[in-house]
Order: sequence, then C-alpha cells, then structure tokens
Amino acid sequence: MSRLLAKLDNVDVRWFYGALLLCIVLASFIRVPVKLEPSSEARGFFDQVERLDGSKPVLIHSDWDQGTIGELRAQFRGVVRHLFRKNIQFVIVSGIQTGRQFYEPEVESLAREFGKEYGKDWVSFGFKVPDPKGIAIEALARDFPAQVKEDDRGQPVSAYGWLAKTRVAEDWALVVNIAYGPYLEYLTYFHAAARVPVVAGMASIWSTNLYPYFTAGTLKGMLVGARGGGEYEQQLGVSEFGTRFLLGQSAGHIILLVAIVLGNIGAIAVKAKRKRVDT
Amino acid sequence: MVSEIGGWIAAFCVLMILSLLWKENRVYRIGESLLLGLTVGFTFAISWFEFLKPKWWDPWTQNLATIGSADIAWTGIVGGAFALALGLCWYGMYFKKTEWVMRLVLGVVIGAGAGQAIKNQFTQQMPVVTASFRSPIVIQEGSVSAPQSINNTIFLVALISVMIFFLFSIDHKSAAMRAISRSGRFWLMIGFGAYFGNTVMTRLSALIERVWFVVQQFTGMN
Repeated sequence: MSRLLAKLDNVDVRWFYGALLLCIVLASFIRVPVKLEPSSEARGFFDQVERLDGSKPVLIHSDWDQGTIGELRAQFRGVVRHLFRKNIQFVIVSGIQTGRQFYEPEVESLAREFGKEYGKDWVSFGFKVPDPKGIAIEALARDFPAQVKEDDRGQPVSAYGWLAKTRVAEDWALVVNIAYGPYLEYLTYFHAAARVPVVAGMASIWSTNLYPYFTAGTLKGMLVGARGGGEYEQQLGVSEFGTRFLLGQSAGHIILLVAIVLGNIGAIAVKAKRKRVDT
Repeated sequence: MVSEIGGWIAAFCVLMILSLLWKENRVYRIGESLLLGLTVGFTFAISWFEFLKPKWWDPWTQNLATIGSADIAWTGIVGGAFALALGLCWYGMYFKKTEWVMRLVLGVVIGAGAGQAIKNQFTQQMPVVTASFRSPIVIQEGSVSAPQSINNTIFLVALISVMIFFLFSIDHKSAAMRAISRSGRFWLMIGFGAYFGNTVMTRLSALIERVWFVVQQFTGMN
C-alpha cells in the first residue's frame, strides 16, 4: 500500500493535464442552474450602473482579448446589457490594439437584441489609450474629443449630438474599466479630480491589488474574474456564458484540489518510506 | 463562411499550442511563431490606423499642404516634425554612437512618469491609508456590531503586525517583538496564498475558455 502511495509522488504530469482537460470538456456539456450570492463588490458595481439617470454618457474602457476572454467577456456583456436595458448611452475606448476586435461583436449582438443603433446609443473609438497609459488617461480627462479624434467609422466626436457636450472628466456619468489589470489613473483624473465614480472589472489575479481601493471607497465596485461575470448576470436575472463558465471553473478547481491532495499523500509516503529505510 | 473558416483555423491553432502539454514538438513551434508574427503585424497596423494616422499623420500632412499658401500652419508643421523627431530618437538605442539621443526622450518619459507618480501617491494611496484607521469597536444603531468589530480587529492586527515585520529600525530581540513580527509573516503568507490562488484561477479560466471554444467548434454546441 505504502509503495503504491509513494508512486503518487512521481506521476507523469501528463495524466494530470489529461484529467484536467477531460473534466473541462465534460463540464461544457453540463447544464445545471447555478445560484450565486453576489458579493458586496459586485453589488457596488451593479448599483452604480443602476443609479444612472441617462443625463450623461458612460465611458467604458475595454481592455480584454484572447488572453482574458474567459474572465472578462461575461463582465463586459453584463455591463453593456445593463446599459442597453436602462437606455444609457455609452462610449467605448480601448488601450490594447486587439481590444476592438473582441468587444465589437459582443456589443453588436446585444444591440440587435435590444434594437439599439450605433451612433445613437453607443459609439466605439477603438484603440485610443496607448502607452504610457497614465498620460493618455489624463488626456482623456482633459479633452476627450482631442484625444480620440475620430471613431471607428472615421467620424469626429462632434458628429454625435449627444456627445457634443462631452469634453472633460466632469462630463461623464461613470467610468467602467474592464481590463486584466484596471488602470488606477482613472481614480486620479476622474474620481479624485472630478468626483466621477469609477468601477472596474478585472482578472482574478489582479483583484488582490485592488481590494484596498474598494474598501477605501475610491473604487465604487469591482467584478472579480469569472465569478464577477457570473455575479453580474445573476443580478441582471440572466444566465449565459458567465454563469455557465463557473461550472467549468469549479470542475477545474476540483481536479486541482484532488491533484494537490494526492501529490501531498505521495510526498508524505515517500518521506515515511525513507525514514523506514534509515532506521 | 469567412468567419466559419476563421473559427476552424483558430481551433487548430489552439490545438497546436496545447500540443506542448504532451511534449515539445514542431507543431507547437510553428503555432508559437505564427502567433508572434501575427501579433506584431496586427499591433503595428492597428497602432498606425487607429492612433498614429488620425492623431499625427493626417493633421501633419494637412498642415504641410498649407506650405505655399497664404495661411501656412507653422505651429502644426513644426509640432508634427518635433513629434517625429522625438519618436525617432528612440531608435538611437540601436547604435552605440547615438545612444545618448534615446536618453533624451527617455528622460522626458521618466520625468512625466515621476510627476504622475507623485500625484498618484496622493490621490490613490492617501484614501487607502486614511481608510485603514478603523475602530476595533463599531457601533451601529446604538449597539455594538459584532461582525464589523471582529472584522476591524482582524484588519488592525494584520496591519500592525505586518508593519512591525517591516520595521527594521528597531531590533526584533524582545519576545513580544518577535511574536508580532512572526504574526506579520503569517498574515503575509495568507496574502501570498490569495495571490497564488487568484493566479491559478486566472490561468485556468484562460484554458477553460479555449478548450470550450475548440469543443464548440467540433460539436457545434453553443
């Protein structure tokens, strides 16, 4: 028995990869209702959008692509769905070159669902926040039309009547930053300077850095990783990719936990075996 | 039709990259080179068409077109040329003799970054510092709120012990200081554990999404 357990310490890692992939694939076929209690940070995010009255537009900074689509797509879809549902006009900018290719199909599919129109309900400006991000965000806060120049269709900001009065930070109702690691410069140039609330959606890996800003009250809401997307969907009363994704993640976590337990049993067994040989 | 073909190409590219899990192989290397080449090309094209062209090239060439007319836009012409010269300075790093040119623009960027960092310290960090001054006893609606009080007490214990762990001006010789310092290390370990757990979660999410994408492509399941 102990010899068998000791073998666990030296299992080919490819068995683990295989089990993980199998588990993830199986989870993709499972359809069970998932119920989540939204966290205070997700409720804070939702409440900020819920509070909007439509007198000013919302600025969405969308920085997610193939590397973060798993965690951030559902967050982005949730926010856009919420804004469309409340008839709030919004603008999207990106700080990564691949940003538009990912957010545009999502907005367009939701726009079809809600019967919304480009230019009237939303405008996309694409990659307009290059590095260094701090300086570009400061420019967005100081003079938005000068920083973005023209939208994806070659139109200047002045071509859209509802954006005619949008120039400085104070002219926005809310800043939504969905990125792998959201940019804290929005807190400096929009929240601290103009009292515009800022909410952020992020990859789980980054959340530990940002919780202090949420507890301090400068960041009004947070969506953390895949869980954040699922929580937002639950608050909206819809169940799509974000909620379903949690099943896949749970399946993956179970395999990881089993592997950690088995690996430790193997290590302990090897240690015990060595001790026996020594004595 | 085009998006369908694109989907299949994407699915096969994912499988090429995932083949590394089995072992190092040529198919993976081809996939990796493909990804790098496409990323560089795409990044350059988007940077030009969505940012540099509308922000710099178009205004500058419009201003250059005014040369010879009565209203020459000198400010725009000189501004555009100055931006080009500054941008080209970065390429000085590739030659030993011109390295100093690159340092000029590097100085500008570091200077601007340092200026912003000072401002950020006040606007971003100060609210966090002031929010950490919490009372261990929280009174809500005339009575002590036990959950909030416990929460704040744990927070304060963690904060103080971690700060003492990093306090090197005082020797940690006494038993009390050693105990607090050790407790600081304990809290730090919890923090690092949270970081690591979140890291695993992010990486796993990336994998799940790609695997589901491939499954969706092969099964047609939505």
